[in-house]
Amino acid sequence: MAKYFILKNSGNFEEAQDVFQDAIIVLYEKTKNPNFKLTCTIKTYIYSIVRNLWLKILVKKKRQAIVTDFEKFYKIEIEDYDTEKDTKIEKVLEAIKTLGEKCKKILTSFYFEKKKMEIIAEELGYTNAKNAKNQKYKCMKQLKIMVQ
Amino acid sequence: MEDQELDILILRYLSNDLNAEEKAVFEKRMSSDESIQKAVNTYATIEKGINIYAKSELKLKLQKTHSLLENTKSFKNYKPSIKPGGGFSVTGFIMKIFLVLVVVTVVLIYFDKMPIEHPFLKEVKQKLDNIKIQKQVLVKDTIWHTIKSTKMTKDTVYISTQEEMDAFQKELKNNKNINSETENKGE
Repeated sequence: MAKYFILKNSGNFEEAQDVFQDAIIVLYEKTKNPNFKLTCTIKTYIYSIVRNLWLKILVKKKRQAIVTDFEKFYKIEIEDYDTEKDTKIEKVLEAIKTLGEKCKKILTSFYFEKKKMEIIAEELGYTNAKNAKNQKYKCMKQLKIMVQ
Repeated sequence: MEDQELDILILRYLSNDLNAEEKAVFEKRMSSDESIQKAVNTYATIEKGINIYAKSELKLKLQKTHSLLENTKSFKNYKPSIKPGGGFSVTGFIMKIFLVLVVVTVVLIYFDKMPIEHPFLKEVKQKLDNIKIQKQVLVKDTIWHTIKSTKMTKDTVYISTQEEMDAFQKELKNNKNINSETENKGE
């Protein structure tokens, strides 16, 4: 459905694949929110995300942003960062790459996967949540120094 | 307040981990201290960066999975069962028409209302009649006779009604008469 929508609205196969993968990530992020409630079918929800993402791309690429729909859709809020224009973010991304694997894992588990410190401590082999929290702080501090 | 304590406070503030009172005190302090505002902004950017980094890592994993899947036989042969917008399928349409024609033909043959004649159709009709007879034999009381008949091709004659029995006896009588006449002529 997603592929069909993009192909029929001035996109190609690679773009369809790319947008679908982005949509799965958005869905993953949404489900991490405890207040998230699915009020339509998963198919409609994914279609709505794909539609939204594809409209943004069309606007960015200055292509025709009037689309033909094949499915019901809902307006879904999607956070959007333009990394290319945001030098600060780019700097952070470069800094993250230099971190150790454990630091990367602890930070992504906490901020992206929204895992609790107790679970992170268990997964990464820390004796308790407090130790994991301390390690997270050290990693953040390291990033702050590199970014400043 | 030491740097470390302030950093921890900022991180707790950004993670929404402060209670209402702590939050109010911190925000008051932040509004009057530019260095704290700057530190808050830096940490907020770092958090954003971590999320973007995690997303890009997840996307890489998805791309790898996708390309792995694409090389599997089941994925290559996969055809979605639902066509977008209930699309029109020519093959499906032809199959439906064919199915309707088959059903109509069988019904017409069964009730002997076929507008055209063809040896194949006759054969089908004969088979359907046999099925009908066998069904009657199974349902009703049956009298079995094994005797030569002029009308039936086989020796076994199925009789399921009194009318059929009368007709059979009549035919039997005729057969006997013909046979005795032939014998008389021979003598």
